Amino acid sequence: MAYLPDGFESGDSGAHDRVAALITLESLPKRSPADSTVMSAVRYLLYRHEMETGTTDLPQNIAVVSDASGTGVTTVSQALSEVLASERSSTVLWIDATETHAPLPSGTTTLRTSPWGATDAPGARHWAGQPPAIGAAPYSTFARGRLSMSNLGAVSSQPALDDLFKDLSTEFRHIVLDTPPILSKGNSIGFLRHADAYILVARHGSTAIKQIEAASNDLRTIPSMGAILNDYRTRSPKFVRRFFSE
Amino acid sequence: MSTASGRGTASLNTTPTSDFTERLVDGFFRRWFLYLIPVVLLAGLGIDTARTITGEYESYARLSATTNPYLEQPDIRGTEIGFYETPADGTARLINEQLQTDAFIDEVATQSGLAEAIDDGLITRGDIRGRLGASASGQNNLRVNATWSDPTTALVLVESATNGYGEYLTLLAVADSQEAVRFWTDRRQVASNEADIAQDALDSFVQRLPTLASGEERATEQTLEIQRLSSAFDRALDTVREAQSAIDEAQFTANQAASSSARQLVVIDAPIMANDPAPVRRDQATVVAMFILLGLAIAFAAVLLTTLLDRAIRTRSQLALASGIDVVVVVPRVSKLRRKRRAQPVDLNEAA
Repeated sequence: MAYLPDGFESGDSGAHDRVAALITLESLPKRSPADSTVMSAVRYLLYRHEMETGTTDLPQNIAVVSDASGTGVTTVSQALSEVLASERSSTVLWIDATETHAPLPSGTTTLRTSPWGATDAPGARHWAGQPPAIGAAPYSTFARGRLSMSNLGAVSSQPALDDLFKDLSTEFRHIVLDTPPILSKGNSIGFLRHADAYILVARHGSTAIKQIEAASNDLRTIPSMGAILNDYRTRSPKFVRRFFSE
Repeated sequence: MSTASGRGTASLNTTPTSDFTERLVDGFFRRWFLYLIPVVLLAGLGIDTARTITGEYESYARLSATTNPYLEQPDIRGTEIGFYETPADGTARLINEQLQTDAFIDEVATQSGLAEAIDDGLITRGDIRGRLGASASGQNNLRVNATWSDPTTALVLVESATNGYGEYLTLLAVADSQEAVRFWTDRRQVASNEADIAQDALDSFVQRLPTLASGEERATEQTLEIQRLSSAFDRALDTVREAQSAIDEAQFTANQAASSSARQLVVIDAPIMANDPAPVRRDQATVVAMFILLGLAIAFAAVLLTTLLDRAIRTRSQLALASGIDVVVVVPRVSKLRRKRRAQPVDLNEAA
């Protein structure tokens, strides 16, 4: 059974119905508290953005993107959601638009009614009228169900997605998009049209320069809030590192 | 976490050079054990090679290249000392130049008893050249030294080289005088033949003349002919005497030049036979050091190559340059968290 927002009845028509059908909180495992270093990095990017824009008004829809998988986009986007929710007292929705990381319980809807699986996981809560929390996370989560990546392009082109974001924007101060790799899954480019800004994540020693150049070229129309070089590790001794800037 | 910020690429606090150096250093420390393999291998090879080095016996002679300023020095072609070098430097250079010629080496080998070994292919001229040489030892003194596996050969090599160079100097010094002797000897022979012919002609003419009666005088024509023949004979004799004088003078000059050339190289310390082989530790250390340096060069080339071929993002400035994003944050790897995540698998029901 799909959860519906409080105040909505099953069978309502229009955008709210679609939202009700789509916004079904999935029981996402909170694998671990967000890394303090990642949260510090995100915090710094937010401060820098505020300093450069001269206002505390952060972009509403922030996409965390990378060129390929495994760079730490989910970690960064979760940390961003946590910082925004706990330190900025914002209502935050974290949308996992990447591949499903864990097996989902049964009860998913079809693509015709919802691009994301509407699940009825034990302990899951919907965002409307309830403390938007799953486990220890202080923010709401919204994850894609059993939608194959090949259909993501179809989802991103659904008019319902536009209505969905419109409705979500009225309910949440910030929407954090955990997007698929933009190079390997080009469908996410369409998904990113709903982003107001993006944070680029690259993995040290893994992400190629060409990939970053290509990804940046694809993202050139979206304002950037900064980049994170994740999983940085150097074997140079400390006395050697002193000679360099990092 | 560390950060970089600014506007555009120029605002980053790293230059392309320092960025590349950083990647180079990081690349080395990331796989230092691989890069040390050629160093260790070549060091082992160097040690093995150094162990094969055996001590050789060394003999040397110390020579003086000074000349007596009160004596006139012969101008020997090809042995001029440059204005930029000391007498010792110049003489050592000349000896080493001679050692590069096969004729001189063959002469030295013959005098040293090594000619047969060369003919049999047991040693080469290069072996002798590599073990025999001259070097300046101060401004006026030079040292001719030789090393060989046996002390006798080392001693003989030094003696042969020293004597051979002295003979070479003498040969050069007397070359012009000997040429003059040969020239005047030929002239003397020609003049002597002419004198004989003139004397024969005079004798023959006189014998053919009739005997004069008492009080009778020779005809004027006969008298003139006798005078002409006598004059030709006298000129030929003068030429012979002149040639002989020139020969004597040239021989004197040759002897004088030979004597002067011998004074140009005075042996101060005659070579002596070495009792013990020369210590080899220095040579062994040099060989090992060279092998280690070669290994280091190979390791550095490998680090350089892998760094150049590495197209992954390794520094903050690389990411900033590639993405065109000014604000770059570095998040270091936290090994403790990674281990913790691996150790604690997710339980969906528990998490829910």
